[in-house]
Amino acid sequence: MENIFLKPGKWQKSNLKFKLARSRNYLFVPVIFLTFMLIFFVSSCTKEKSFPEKIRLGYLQSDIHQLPAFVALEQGFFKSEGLNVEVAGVFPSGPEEMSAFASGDLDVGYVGISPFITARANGKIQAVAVAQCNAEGSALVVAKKEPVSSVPDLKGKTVAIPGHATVQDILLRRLFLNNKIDLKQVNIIVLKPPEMIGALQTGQIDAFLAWEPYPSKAVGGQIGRVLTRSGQIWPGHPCCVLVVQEKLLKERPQVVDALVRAHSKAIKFIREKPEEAIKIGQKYTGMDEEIIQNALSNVKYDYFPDSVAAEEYVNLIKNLGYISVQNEKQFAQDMFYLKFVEQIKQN
Amino acid sequence: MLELRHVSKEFILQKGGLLDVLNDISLTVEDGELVCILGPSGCGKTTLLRLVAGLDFPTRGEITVSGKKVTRPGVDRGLIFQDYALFPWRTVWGNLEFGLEVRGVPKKQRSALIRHYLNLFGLEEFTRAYPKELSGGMQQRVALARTVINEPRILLMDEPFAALDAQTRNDLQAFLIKIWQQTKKTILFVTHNVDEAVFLGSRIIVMTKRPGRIGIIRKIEISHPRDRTSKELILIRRELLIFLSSQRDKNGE
Amino acid sequence: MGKSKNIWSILACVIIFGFWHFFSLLYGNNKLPSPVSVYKGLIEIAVIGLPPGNILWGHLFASLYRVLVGFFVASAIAIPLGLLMGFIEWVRALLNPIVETLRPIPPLAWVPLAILWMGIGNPSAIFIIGLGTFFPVLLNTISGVENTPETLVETAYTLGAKQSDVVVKVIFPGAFPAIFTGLRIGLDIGWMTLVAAEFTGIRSGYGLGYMIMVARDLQRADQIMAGMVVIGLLGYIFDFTWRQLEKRVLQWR
Repeated sequence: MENIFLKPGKWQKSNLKFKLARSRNYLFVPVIFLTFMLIFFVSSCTKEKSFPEKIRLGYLQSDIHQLPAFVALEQGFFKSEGLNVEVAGVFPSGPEEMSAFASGDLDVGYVGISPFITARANGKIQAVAVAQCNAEGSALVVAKKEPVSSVPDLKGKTVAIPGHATVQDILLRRLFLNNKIDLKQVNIIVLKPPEMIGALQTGQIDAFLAWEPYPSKAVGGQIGRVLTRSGQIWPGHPCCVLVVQEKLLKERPQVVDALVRAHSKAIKFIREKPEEAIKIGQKYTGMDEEIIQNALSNVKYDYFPDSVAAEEYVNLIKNLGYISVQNEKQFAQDMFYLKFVEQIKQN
Repeated sequence: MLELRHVSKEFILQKGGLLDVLNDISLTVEDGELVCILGPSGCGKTTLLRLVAGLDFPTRGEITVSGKKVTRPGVDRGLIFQDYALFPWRTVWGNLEFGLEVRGVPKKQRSALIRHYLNLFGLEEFTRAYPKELSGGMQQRVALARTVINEPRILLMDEPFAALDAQTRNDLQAFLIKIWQQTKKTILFVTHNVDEAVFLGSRIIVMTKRPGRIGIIRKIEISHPRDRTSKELILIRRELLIFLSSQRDKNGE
Repeated sequence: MGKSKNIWSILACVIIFGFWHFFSLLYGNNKLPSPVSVYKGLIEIAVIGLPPGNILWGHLFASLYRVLVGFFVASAIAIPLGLLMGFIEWVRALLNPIVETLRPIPPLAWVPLAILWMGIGNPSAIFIIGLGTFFPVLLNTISGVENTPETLVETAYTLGAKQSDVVVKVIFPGAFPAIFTGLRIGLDIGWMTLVAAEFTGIRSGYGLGYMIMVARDLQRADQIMAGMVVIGLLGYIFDFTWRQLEKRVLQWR
């Protein structure tokens, strides 16, 4: 092949085409064509009940909201749906999981609705939510010795959240908004949930807002007390969702269908057999039975999303200046794909 | 008066064993004498100088200056290296000032002294220059001035002109004689250059090859300025060269 | 010479921006934001802030403060320690194993311990940045001391210097160029560790590293890169200033 790269003077489009066509190595065009055909053929061959390709799953570290994921893995619900699910990443916070989504390292993930909205709105991911995981399930915890009895007492205090644009971030800001507290009067810092309890104990922070079971653990360890539950801040607020790559949905909708089914089975299992679910929760978080039990009482598992509340989320996040979307209503509609959960609901 | 009594020096080698460098050297240098130590390379003449300077210690024997035993470096013995060893971060002025500074001479006195010596050594126009801006000859002049300003009794010079070109060397030799005559210092001058030794020395001590001993001592009573091409000097040169080449022959065996 | 050099650097910039823009078109603005959107993101940080309300200057000064304090504290310990280690044999023998063990540990690995010892906030971040600065300064100081010509030390002694004079007036200025280089590298590495230091536990909500982390949380690749550009530019400005300073302070070289 002629080395066209060594002739910078002749870098013109027509010239390049001309050279390529005339290059002696014209064999490579059909070879590439054939390769594409082969890949296409192979991928279209597997439209069956069993899906041997690995589905790469991500979830958050020790987040009891995502118990359905743990249950589906432990009880083999994914497997019984013919799925080959592999845990490809466990993340300390939602935004990090979304970064892994953006780079294409995950096919499907359990993640907070808020990081999902942010990542989608800012164009980082091409993914949709196909089911909800839970509503509520976070709590604002203050240090036990802290003389804070109401939300306005938090003025001048340091409050930790797991990350910007996390569900907890949005909840905290909504809480302050509801109580007419200027955000500048509170020092909001970012800490990973596993570090929060230690920071609370040593007095480095005065309060934290985190997902269960961390609030229950802080309470159980006599370190903090719950100032307010997220259900009190915003009753029935959506929390974690099941997110899949749009590409996966487009190319292999059956796989997504199976995922949603396994997911709904897991939620049903949690409702019907709470003791067994607690044991699985213990295994995945490494915490006591009592803590998990307390934590679960704070979480509402439901696979069907609340689209009105979801739209409110989009509004809140937009008002914080994290995202800029033109039409919130349209955006909130487009970010869900609910065909599969609707089917399950009807049955 | 500088006295060396039965001075020997051995070095312990890293791979084991001892290296005999100097062997039983006894020497007396009178005040105001200019003694040249001449010898083949590796004969320990630099070591001898370092012992006198107090930078190293003899294995046996002792060295005294005016009856006082040498145990460490002192301002009474000024040392001048072949590579000038000027402090590159100090100007000419600063280099001259160093010794006065560390000896605690008051600032006012320092300035007067430095000006005097800059003048004496012809360095006035380089006062603010850094060493790297000077030629080798000028640098050695500065090094000499820096030592002399400290008013040592003895000047120890370790092949000070070896790195200079012939013309500059000749100039500096003449200059050294001038300084010597003006200040009446005792000078111990190490060199491997016979011409230099003969031109400068009131006494020349030729050393043997290692382990270095005193081979011959030759007094030269010709007054300065000497004529390098005079018959007497040529004869002395020949005498010394014969001895030195005999040392080389022994080496060859 | 200087002019053609400038032309080349401008050309290089144009080419780099061109490639950047080209690849941005190729991979999509969300994965690799184009120079224009990075610029827009930067303006957004300067005007609106990231997170909204915390504007660029706050981040800039918070980071500047941490880097400079970390740098000065680390240097204030590393330089005297390096002088001692370079100068006194037993101090080096004692500390060298510790230094050589701690040196290869990336500063990032200290983050959890730093938070445990010093809590969340500036002390931890400064500690991490200081660690990054400390070792290059220390090692350069030691090697600077080692590379100070021995003849300078010996000359100083023969000129009447005491041990303390030698350290302050010979070893330190002799090692100074190396120390200066060490400081420059240390400052560079301080900037490099900044992001890591600010990723965990920043209390004030300000700092360039913190800003980048927020941009990551908000999935704003353009603002992540804007943060990188700011850090890069700051590093460049510091390096440039340092070199100018070096030219002036070390003009004797």
